[in-house]
Amino acid sequence: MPAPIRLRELIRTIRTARTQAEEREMIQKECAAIRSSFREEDNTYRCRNVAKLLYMHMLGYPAHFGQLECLKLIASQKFTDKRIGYLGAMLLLDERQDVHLLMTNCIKNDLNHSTQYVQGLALCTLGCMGSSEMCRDLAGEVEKLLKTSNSYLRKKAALCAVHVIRKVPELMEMFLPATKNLLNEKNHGVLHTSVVLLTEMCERSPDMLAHFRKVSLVPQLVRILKNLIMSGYSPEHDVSGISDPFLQVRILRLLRILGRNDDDSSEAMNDILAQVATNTETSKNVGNAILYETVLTIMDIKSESGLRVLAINILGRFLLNNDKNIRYVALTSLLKTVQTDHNAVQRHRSTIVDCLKDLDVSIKRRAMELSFALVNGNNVRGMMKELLYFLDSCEPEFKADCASGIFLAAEKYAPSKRWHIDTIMRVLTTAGSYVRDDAVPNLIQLITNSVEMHAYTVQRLYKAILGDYSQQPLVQVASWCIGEYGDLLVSGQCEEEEPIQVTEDEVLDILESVLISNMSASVTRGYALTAIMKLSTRFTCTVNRIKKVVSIYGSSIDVELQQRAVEYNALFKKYDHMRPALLERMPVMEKVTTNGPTEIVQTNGETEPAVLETKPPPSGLQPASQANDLLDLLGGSDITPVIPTAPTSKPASAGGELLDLLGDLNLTGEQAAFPKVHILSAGPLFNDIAAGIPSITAYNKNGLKIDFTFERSNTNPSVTVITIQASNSTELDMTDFVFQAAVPKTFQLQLLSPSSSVIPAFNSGTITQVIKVLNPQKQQLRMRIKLTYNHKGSAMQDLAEVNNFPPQSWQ
Amino acid sequence: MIKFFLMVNKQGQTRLSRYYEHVEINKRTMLEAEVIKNCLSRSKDQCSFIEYKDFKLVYRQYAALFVVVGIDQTENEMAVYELIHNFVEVLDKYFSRVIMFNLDRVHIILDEMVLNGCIVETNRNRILTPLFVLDKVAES
Repeated sequence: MPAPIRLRELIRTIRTARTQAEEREMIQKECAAIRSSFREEDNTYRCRNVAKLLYMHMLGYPAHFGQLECLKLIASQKFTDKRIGYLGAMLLLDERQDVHLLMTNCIKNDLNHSTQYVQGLALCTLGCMGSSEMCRDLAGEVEKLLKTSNSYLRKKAALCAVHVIRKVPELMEMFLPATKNLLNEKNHGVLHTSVVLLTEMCERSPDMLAHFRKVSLVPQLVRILKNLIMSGYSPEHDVSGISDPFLQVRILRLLRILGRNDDDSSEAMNDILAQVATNTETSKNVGNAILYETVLTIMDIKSESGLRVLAINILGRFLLNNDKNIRYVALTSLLKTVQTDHNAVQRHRSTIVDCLKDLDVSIKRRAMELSFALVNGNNVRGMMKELLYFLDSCEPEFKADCASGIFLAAEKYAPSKRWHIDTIMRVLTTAGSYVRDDAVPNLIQLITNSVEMHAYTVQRLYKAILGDYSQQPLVQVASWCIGEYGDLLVSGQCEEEEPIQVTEDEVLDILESVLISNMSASVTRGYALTAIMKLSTRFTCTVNRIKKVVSIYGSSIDVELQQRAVEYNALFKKYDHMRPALLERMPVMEKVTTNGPTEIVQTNGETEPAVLETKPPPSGLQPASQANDLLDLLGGSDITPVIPTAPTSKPASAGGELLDLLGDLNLTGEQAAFPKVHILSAGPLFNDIAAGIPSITAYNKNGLKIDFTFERSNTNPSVTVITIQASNSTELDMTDFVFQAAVPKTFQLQLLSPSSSVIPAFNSGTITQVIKVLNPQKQQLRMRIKLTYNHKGSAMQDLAEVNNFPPQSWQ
Repeated sequence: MIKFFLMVNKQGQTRLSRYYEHVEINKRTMLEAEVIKNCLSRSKDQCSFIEYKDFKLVYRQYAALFVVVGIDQTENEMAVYELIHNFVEVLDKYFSRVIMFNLDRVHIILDEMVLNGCIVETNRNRILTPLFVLDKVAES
């Protein structure tokens, strides 16, 4: 059999292949030759064959039949064989194969070999792919080699030890004594790997970390670093004029871990960090790499403020650099530090905003995230302009994130309602299809809250979808608004802008085209149909047209649409008398989270510092479920008998009113327009209640007893939900019972509607009412309550203070 | 930690691949193809760090060859950038031109520089000493 070809000829041949098929053919032929050669147990050429096999493996062809051959090579005495054998073992084997265990003995012998290069090979292989069993067996040998004076072996042994520790963490203690002298070496290779070993030990075990802090590791490292910086030119380790930057970077990283959360260590390294930061040359990438690491270290440890400012200035300088890599790195670091050093980062805001216009995708993403982190009340207008411009021109993968970010920022810092609405409109029209689904209900809630802007909003939305109704979130919001405020649109009442002349037919035209269009999603169609229905009470001349549309969709294929249409039809026919009430204006919706808009907080005229909040209950409605709500009402529920009757209680206008605590407070009772909040059952309102809190008797006089039971939500620990139960032990009923409460200024209170206003006699029934208290400052809960009721023919009234709240209810 | 070390040419052919974390063999080719696609689509004045899945790629182009290193969050990107250059310089010194016909030697050099994802040695002479020894043994 002719001698098998050398690796280099194989490579040359394969490179000449012009197609994938040709290459495969060549490889298969060669594989067959190699296999037969292996079968012949040919020692001379085994090395060559395995090398070729490794090359083919790299190209992606299976090479598992070579695994045993690698083992044979490792066992051979020739250095060249061993070399290829170990390489093959590293590339082809891993701990998933059983074959690798056979290597253990070989490696053990080789670790004690007389030639250092063989020992080095064994260390290398063990360090790359040793399994836990192998590591356990051979850890002793590695430790011995860690203590030798041979620097070639020591450095490899250190990294091998790192691998052992990763696989078998319990063995970390074993390497501890050997680390004492590691840093006394002159050889940079050993220093480097020793630092890696120390880093690994410190990261894995807090005990080790404490130990190293105690044995004054920091001064040692500081000394080494100082030598590196001050030593001048050393040809051995020089890279572009800087002495061994790799080692410097590693040491800085270890210093970071040692200094984190530890004042003494941080203090010891302040000087050297300042020195590195000021002395390192920044003209080349190398210098910048070191500065980058230094900045990260300064920000992470407990450094003094002067040093921190220095670090941020370095980052600022990076931002102005032409090199993209450095800009990227600077933006990443600034993002990490913006939480802690917000003001310092603000100074570089204009540069960051410029980076939004960069061509590089990675830089743009970083700049966008950083910009959102920097928006605050002062700069919101300018920043928003830039971000909107960015939204226009950026890649699609950014648009969703950018839109969400803009919404959040606008919500938090909007300087005026009009600006807020304008911004939302801008986002919807430019990136309408990328807006996230959950943004739509949030936007709708926002729009209902800005009462005075309704006319302006609906006009702008109408104009927006007139031209183009393909962007679903935009169309959904627009349909909802037109449905709600269509009358304002038609009557041309807009103050902010030039009112446009729209007829009822035109409005219905656009809504119908949304319904018909192929581009509309099913959800959007639902919105449009409901909007048309609502307009039946707001428009005067086109009711017949609406009836016709609704009845057509009663036979639609889309089940959701069909159901809605059928129910709306029923509204027209049998329940026409209820239609106006049902389709009234929606009340102002409360946000589910508690950082809601501040215009709903009301103050009273009392001298006492008390704040009473009477927001309407959290209906948390999606317009998509309006239909169901309306139908529930149709079913005639026996909940609060207070479908809004008093016209003044139109909650949309409750926003601006001052409420007198002692005055007419019917409003507290009459806001439950929707049955979503079912108070009759005094069961837990949250699914995630904390452990039971003892209930208290808040008031007990003249036969009237009021008990408080508490619940805390796990999702929002500042909210306490109190359920009051009022019972009557006298022989006569108490009627027209009204419960009012006031709390100190730091709290916020919300009273939901009571179950009824009559407390039957002889404790035969109770009134239940729910109070929600928001206590962000976790202060002691106190409450003043006022009770009014009619009893035995006379009006009774009483004031009381409740002070006996259990600590678990407010802590 | 360095996850992998690749040298790929512009046509997408892998010239050298070393994985420090186990990746299935069929996934490797896919990974390499995607990585080279990412690198090729960047222009010269874009930064050398790409975020790819859950690690970062640091790449450098030398004529028709791309050297790509995949790292995780614990590594300093710019130091790895320097490491790539260091590696190429070492190769340059050993082979008179950077030619891939002696793949096993290239692997040996890489092993001397990077062990299990960590940098071991960066001094050119010290890296190449064992190789010269190996050469002498092979000749005799």
